[in-house]
Amino acid sequence: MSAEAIQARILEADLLAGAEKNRLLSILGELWKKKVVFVGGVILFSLLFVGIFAPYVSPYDPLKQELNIRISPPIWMAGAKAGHILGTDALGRDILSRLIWGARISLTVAVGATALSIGIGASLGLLAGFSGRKVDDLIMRLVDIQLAFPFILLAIALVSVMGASLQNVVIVLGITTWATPCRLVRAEVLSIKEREYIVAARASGQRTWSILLGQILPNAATPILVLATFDLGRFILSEASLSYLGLGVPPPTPSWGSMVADGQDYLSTAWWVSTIPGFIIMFACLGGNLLGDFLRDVMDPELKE
Amino acid sequence: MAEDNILIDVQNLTKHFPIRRGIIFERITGSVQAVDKISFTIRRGETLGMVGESGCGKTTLARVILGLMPATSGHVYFDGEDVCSLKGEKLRLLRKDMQLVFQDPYASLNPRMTVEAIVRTPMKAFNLYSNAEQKEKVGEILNTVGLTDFHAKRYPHQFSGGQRQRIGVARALAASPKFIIGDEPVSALDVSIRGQVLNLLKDLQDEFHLTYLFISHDLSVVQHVSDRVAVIYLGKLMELATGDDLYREPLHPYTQALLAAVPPPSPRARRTERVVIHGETPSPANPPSGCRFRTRCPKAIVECAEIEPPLKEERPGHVVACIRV
Repeated sequence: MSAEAIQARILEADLLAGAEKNRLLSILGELWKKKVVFVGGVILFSLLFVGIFAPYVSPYDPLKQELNIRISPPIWMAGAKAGHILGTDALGRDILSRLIWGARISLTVAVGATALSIGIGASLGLLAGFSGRKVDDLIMRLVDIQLAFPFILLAIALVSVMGASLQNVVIVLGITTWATPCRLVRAEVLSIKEREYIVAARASGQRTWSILLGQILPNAATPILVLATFDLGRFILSEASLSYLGLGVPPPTPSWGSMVADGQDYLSTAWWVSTIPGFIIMFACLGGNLLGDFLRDVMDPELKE
Repeated sequence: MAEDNILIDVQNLTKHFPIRRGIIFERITGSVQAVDKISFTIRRGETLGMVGESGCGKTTLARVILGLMPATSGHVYFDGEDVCSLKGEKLRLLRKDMQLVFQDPYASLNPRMTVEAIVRTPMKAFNLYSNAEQKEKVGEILNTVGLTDFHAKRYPHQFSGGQRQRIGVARALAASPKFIIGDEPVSALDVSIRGQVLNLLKDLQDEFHLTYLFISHDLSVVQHVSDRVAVIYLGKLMELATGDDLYREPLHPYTQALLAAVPPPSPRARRTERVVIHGETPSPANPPSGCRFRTRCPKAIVECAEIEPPLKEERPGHVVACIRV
């Protein structure tokens, strides 16, 4: 063995321990190393957790009205009612319980709509970027039409046809926002498909669809993922706008967005009714973004070390 | 088809790229003549070296031969089959037997794939072995090219340029091809690594009975590996001969100038007559009439602008396209 080869072996032995670890463990290890990111993960997963186990963790029924204790402030303020940690809203419903149950709705909408929007957008973007000029032109004109349509107008039209429900909110949000991921993915594909390793894959005899899914998509994943984490936050807010217009999840089902909307009339006298759900939305978005940053780094082998 | 021991037969191969102008009313205003009526053959087990300046159409030629780009006209017969007339699945299946090693070892490996995944690409594409066998084969091939099976789980950025090029060679070998085109496979490597990779390619040729088309702009590299050498200038074949003939007695003025530009190992060893060419390579979109080299040729005469010099066999196995020879 040459000196070079021996050196390589030694380096190898050092790295081998890392390579042998299973993937999940190494992701968890990375998470622990980056405390800020860990915080993001904790925020997001605890929200998910309380959403899933809402019936067990929520102190009250989120729909139960106690009109004699309307608009009571959170526990740390004067005049707070015992038991209602974050106070009550205009109908005397416990805000904490509504937040916990609202996590279900808001996170379902956010995750579902993101998946749908990116799913449609990314598939069409891949197709547009990789197929010939005619298909590309057709899809891009569809994107132009989509972007020219006001979101709210389209949402009103769709909801009035399909009716307001959780499922329909997800569908409406998904099919009104696919244009951005579509453009993003198309641009990525256009640049990636000219790289030499794609020519190499073709020269190796790899089939077109396999190149598309196995070589191009993983390289386009980073911007998609970043967009997805931003979209998570955006969709929580969009759901709020739809709820505000009466097009969202129908009341009295609690969602974070509709809670913000409910509280707006009392903003000058009872700030917490709107502000607390607003904070939760902010934390959820922050958690999503931190986690997105982290996933981006983990997925890129060059940034991993 | 032709003789049995001929693997590649290139006939009048031409590749022109149209130049488009205008946005709405797009029209073709001319063409870049990257490869123009080139013919040659490569025998089984032979290495044909191909030299020429940057931009003379070498890479285009390689890609047209592999069917990665359609030819404008002409034919490429690979084992008797016309690559230029094949499409889709048939063309894809042919790629099992012909592979490419790229110039840039940094750009030609997908940064998100492990070495194992990269080397397995051709095996998967042609369903060559079972899953477990593929993994085993990857290890074997990595050993063959001078890496170890440890390296399989790592990513391209963890390797040096020379090691990356070995990965590229490993990928080319993975489907056990008959023919490999090396498109300047060593020009991105530094001199100390260059020799290693060249020797590796030679060893592999002996071991697997490979046929090479070895493209380079470096005459000394080509001399080291090639049985025969073709000289290309502005998309045209200028001279083709066995390596020994060409280096000892170059006939074409362009070849003579190229060889004169190679630094001699010792200053005293310099040949007495030294052909120096001046000026820039003309644009392939608007090549000179007649002989394409005439604008820079020290021996050019009036007729050179009128007659497009045909390839003639000056000596057995030594063809040259120049009316002044």
